Amino acid sequence: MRRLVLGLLAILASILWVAPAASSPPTIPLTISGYIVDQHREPVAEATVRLFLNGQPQEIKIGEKQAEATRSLSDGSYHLSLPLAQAEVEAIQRGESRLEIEVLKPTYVTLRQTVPAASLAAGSDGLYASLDFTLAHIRNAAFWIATIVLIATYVLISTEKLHRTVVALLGAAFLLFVTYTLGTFNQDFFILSFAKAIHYIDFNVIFLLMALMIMVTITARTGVLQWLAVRAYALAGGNEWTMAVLFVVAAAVLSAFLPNVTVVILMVPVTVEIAFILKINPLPLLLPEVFAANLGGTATLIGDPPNLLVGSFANFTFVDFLINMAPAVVLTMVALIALMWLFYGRQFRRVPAEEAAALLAELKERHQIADPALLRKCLLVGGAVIVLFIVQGFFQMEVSIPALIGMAVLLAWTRSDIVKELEAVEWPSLIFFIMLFIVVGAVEEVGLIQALADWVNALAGGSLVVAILLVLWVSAFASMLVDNIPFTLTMLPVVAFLTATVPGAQGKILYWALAFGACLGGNGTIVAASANIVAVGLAERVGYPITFNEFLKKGLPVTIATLLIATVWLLGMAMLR
Amino acid sequence: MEKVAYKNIVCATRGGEASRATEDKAIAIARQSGARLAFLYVVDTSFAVEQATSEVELAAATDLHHIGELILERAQQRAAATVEAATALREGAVSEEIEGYVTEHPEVDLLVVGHLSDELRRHLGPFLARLADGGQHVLEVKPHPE
Repeated sequence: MRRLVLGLLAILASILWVAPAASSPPTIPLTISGYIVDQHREPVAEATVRLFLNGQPQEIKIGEKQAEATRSLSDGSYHLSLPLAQAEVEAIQRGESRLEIEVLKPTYVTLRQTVPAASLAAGSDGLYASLDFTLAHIRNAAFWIATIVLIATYVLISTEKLHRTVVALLGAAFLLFVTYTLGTFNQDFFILSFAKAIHYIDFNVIFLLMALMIMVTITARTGVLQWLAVRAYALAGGNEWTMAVLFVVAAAVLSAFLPNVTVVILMVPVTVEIAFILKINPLPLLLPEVFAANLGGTATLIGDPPNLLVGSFANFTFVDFLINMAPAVVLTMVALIALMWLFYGRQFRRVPAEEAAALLAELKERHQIADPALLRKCLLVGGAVIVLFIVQGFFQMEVSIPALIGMAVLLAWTRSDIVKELEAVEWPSLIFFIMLFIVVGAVEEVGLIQALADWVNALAGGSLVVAILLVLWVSAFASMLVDNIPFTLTMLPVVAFLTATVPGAQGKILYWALAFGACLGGNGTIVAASANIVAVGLAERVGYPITFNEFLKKGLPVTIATLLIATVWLLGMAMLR
Repeated sequence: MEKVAYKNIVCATRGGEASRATEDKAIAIARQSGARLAFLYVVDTSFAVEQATSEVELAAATDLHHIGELILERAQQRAAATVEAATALREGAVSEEIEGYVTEHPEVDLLVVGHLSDELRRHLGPFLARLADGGQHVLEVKPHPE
C-alpha cells in the first residue's frame, strides 16, 4: 500500500515536473474588434461573429472563457481575442496564413472577410486589428412573413374586424412564435429574438401615457373641463359666433395638454346642451371643436400620440415642440376659425340678453367645480409637471419622468386608492402600443423599413424640399385612412434614414414634417382620429348623425388648409436653417 | 297602419332633426287613435367605452342624461298641443333598452322608431320580429327629406 502511494506520488510529481517542459510555446494574444452595421449605417446587434484561421474555425476567448463565436452588442460592436503562436503570427504577417472573420445573422447575407495582414498592429500586450462589416438584408421567409403580418395588422385595424389591441397582440405573438419554432430549425424563419422584441418597446412612451392617463382622470373628476366650457359661454355674452370661437380656442388649448378624446367627450356634451337650449343646430359648434382638439394636440409633445412617438424617438424635448410646432398650430387655428365662418358664419346670431342670462344661470348651476380642493392639487401638480417638461432638456431627462413623478405625487397627495386609480389606465391602449412596437420592430429587423426608406429616398432624389413635401403630405393622407399610430411608428426609422442622408435634413426637420402630417391628417375623415369617432358617436346619440361624406366636406378643406400652412412653415424652417 | 286603433304607443327618439319625423308620426297616430303616448330616450355612451376611462365616460353619461331630458321635454312640448305624452329615460345600449322597455310594458301595441342603422337593425331585428309575431306593431319612420 505504501509502495502504491509512493508510486502515485512519483507519477504526480513527474507530471508536475514535466508539464512546464511540455507546455506550448509562449503565445501572443490577438485582439480583433470592429462594428457591424447595415447598409443604412445602423448598428446590427446580435450578429454571430466567428474566427477562421486557414479556413478552420478557431476557438476564441471572451473574457476568460473559450467559445466558438461571439455576438455583436446593441451598438453593433464586437470584440474577440485569440492566442496565437509566434510562428502563426509571422505566417499571417507574411501572407502565408489567412485569418478570416465571418459575420452571420438571420435576415442578412452572411459575410466573411479576411483580416488584412497590414492591419495587425503591435500593442504593449499583444496584437490588435480592427475590421468593420456592412451587412445587406436578404428577402427570405422572415422578410415576407413580417411584411405580411404588418400589412395584415394595418388592414385589420383599419377595417375594425378585430379590436386593434387584439390585432397587434396577434401580430407580435405570431412573429415571436414563428421565430422560436420554425426559426429554430431554419434560420430563414428567424424574425426577431425575444430580447430584440423587448428592445424595440419604447417604455418612455408607455410610462408617459400611463402617467398622463391617471393624472387626466383625477383632474377630469373635478369637472373643470365642463366648467371651462361654461366660462367660455359666459365670456361670449350671448354672441353665438364669439361663443363658437371661444369653444374652439378652449378645445385647442386643452387638447395641447390633455388627450383629444377626453377633451371632446367632456366638452362636446356641454356644447350640445347649450345648442339645444338655444335651439340651434349643434354641428356648427361641435365639428369645429373637434377639428380644434385635433389641431391643439399637434402643438405639444404630449398632445397627440404621434407627437409622443416622434418626440421619444428623435429625442425632442417639450420645448422643442413649443418652438417648432406650436406657432404653426396657432396659424392653423386662425385658418380653422376663418373656415368656420365660411361654413357656418350665417347661422350664428346674437342671443337675446334675457335668454342668455337664464341659460348661463342654468349652466353655472349644473357645471360647478365638483371638488375645488382636488382641483387645486391637480393644478399645482400639473403646473409643476409642465415646468419640469420645460426644463426636461436641461436635465437630459426622458419626458416620461416628469409625468411619472407628477402621477406619483398626485396619487400620494390625494390619498387615492391605487387599485381604483389603476383602473383608469387604458390598458388595452398601452398593450396596443407595446405589441405594435414589436410588430414594427420586426419589419425593421428583417429589412422592410430599410427598403421603404431607400424607396422614399430615391423619390426625394436628394432634395430636402421634396422630402419635406413627401413626408408631410403622404403622412397626412395615410393618417386619414389608417391608424396614425402604426403609421408613425413605421415611418420613424424611414425618417431617421432620410434625416441622415438627405442634404440639409440633419436639423431633424423631417421629424417635424412627420408629426405635422400624422396629426393634421386626423381632421380629414371620421376614422382618422379617435376624437372624430367619439364626436360623431355623440352627435348621432343626440339626433344629429354625421355621415362620412358630410364629415369629409368640412374636414378635408380644414386638412388641406392646415397642411398648406404647415408646408409653408416647414419650408421656411428649412430655408432659415 | 294608422287605421288600427292603438292604445299604447311608445316612440323611441334620439332628438334632433333626425327624429322630427318619427316624433311627428307617433304624435299623429296617437291623436288619431286616442292612444297614450310615451317618448323613450336612451343614454348610450358605448361610443366612449373604447376611447376613455370609465370616469370620463361616466361624466359624459351625466351630461347626456341631461341632454336626454331636454330632448324628451321638447318632444313632450311638441305633442302637448294634441296629445298628452309621458317620457322615459334609460341608460344602456339602445337596442337592449328599447327591448327592455317594451318587454316591461306589455301593454305597448305600437313601437315607433326612426330609421334604423345597420348595426341597430342587427341588434334589434330579432326582437322586432318577435314583437310582430306577438301581434304588436312596429313602425320605422324615414326622416323628413332635406
